[in-house]
Amino acid sequence: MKNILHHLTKYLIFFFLIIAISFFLPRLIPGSPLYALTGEGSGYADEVPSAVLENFKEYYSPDKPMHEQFIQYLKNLAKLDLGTSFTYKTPVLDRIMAATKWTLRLSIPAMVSGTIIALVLGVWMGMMAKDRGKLLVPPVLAVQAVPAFILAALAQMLFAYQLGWFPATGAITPGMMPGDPGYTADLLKHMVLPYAVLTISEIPTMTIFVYNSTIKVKKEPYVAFANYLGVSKIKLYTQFIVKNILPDIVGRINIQLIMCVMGSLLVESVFSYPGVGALLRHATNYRDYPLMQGILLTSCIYGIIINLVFELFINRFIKSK
Amino acid sequence: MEILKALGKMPLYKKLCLVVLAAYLLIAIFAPQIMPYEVDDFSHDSLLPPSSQYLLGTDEMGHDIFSLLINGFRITVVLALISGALSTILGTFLAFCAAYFGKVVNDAITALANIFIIVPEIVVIMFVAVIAEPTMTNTVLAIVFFSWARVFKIVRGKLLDSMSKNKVKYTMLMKGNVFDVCRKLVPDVAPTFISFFVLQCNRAVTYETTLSFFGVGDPLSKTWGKLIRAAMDYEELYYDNVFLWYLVPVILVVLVFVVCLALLVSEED
Repeated sequence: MKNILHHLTKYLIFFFLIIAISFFLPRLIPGSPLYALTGEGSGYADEVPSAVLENFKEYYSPDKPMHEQFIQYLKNLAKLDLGTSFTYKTPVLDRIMAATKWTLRLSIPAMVSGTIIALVLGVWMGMMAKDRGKLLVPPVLAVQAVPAFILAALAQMLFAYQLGWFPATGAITPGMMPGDPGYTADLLKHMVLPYAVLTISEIPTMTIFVYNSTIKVKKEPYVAFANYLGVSKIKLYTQFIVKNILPDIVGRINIQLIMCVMGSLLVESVFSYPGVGALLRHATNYRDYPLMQGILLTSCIYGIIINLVFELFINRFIKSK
Repeated sequence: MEILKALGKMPLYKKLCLVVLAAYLLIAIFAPQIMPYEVDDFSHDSLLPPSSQYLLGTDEMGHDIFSLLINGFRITVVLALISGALSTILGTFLAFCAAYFGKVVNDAITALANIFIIVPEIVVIMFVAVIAEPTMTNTVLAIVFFSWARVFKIVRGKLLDSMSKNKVKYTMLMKGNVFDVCRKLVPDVAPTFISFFVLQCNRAVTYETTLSFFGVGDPLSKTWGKLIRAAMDYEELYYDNVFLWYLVPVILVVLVFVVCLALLVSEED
């Protein structure tokens, strides 16, 4: 119980710090619109239409003292008000929620398949005779080093534009409506490339981890004994190896869960897939600050929640086993 | 001598990486001599295919793509070295503070590092870079200030190990000042520091390229990321094989760079 409270306080502090960072950074960094509005004017305000500026002022109220602004900010957040997007003119939260659906649809399956492939690959590498799996480590690390959006650009270049196997952009052919014949097929066809790229980018880190765990487990006496008893290979892998490395791996899924959503942001922006990534690209392109801030907050809170859940439930569960 | 010995022991692929990285450094240093045209010279005909005059053709504005690419070496290698060095130094410095002072200082810095580890780094960096004035310095600062957490965690662990050793305890007992303690710690932490420096260079390149691809950062400095972005924004990239000289070379150059950096410090066991 004391432990749970400890974790909760820790993450509550994290949560508060994130909010503070998202509040203070735009006000302290020279060149930001808020700094321009509050500090020495640098002409930023002229570029923004006046109606937007009004919204902006109402939400941020830059003329009030800093602590009042901060309290106002907290109040707004408590009401789940993340402000209004400069460019879309709709509440930021609505935009993000609509986009999150697409991001999760893409990233969760990719995480599952990526982890499964990594598990198989890692165990296979670890169980190779004479440690030959070691030779495969550098190639895996090389794939790990490739930035996700470059992988996406390459896949788009090859499979969409050159070979024409899959559509290059979007999540659905424009004009297609839910219920039309072939809607689901069209949806899946658009998903293939981003999903495949995301899966590939999820594989390396986990593979190396599984490989290292396998090497460790392989040296245990019970594996040697099972070998001696002539236990079948499949049984050896599933009953002895995977069963013993599984707790380690489950304890790492939180990292995978955060990585896949981040990867998804980058991959989506290449394929113009309508998730949070495309929204982020829109926000950076048009300097849509409230949208940018909303994406920062939601993705940070996502990271906090995932880790909290893991520390409270999953790690505890693994330990009790 | 010891360095040479260590080099000799490296597996072949690491030596190869080292050679490639040295080549990158040389190209970066001699970029002005290699570039056939100035970066801001857009007096050429636009969208020419590769020829002996324009090795990689020209872009839609009339820049020589080969010159842009070579110029990118200079910007990106310098950026990687500076951000890599600064973020490693910052992480190590904070780790030293945490390990040396302990207590509140340690708790505070560790909490901060933990936040940066669980939240998506790239989104935070992008946020900072978007709201800051778009200059190269600010991009570097955004990368440096928000990517030290991993360095901190590992180096702090090493420092704590090393501090529990007798020679350091002894120095502390003798009321040695901070510098004396530092001197005892340096040999233990140096290998980690160097590995992290290379890794942080790798990360800096990835981050900068990603930022540029998202249209964040100094619009005037033509980094590789900006070249990729420009190529991908060009609507007719996939007609007449334009992508073969506009997009593919720059992507390869980035790929080879990040992969070599990552492999150079990969651990065998």
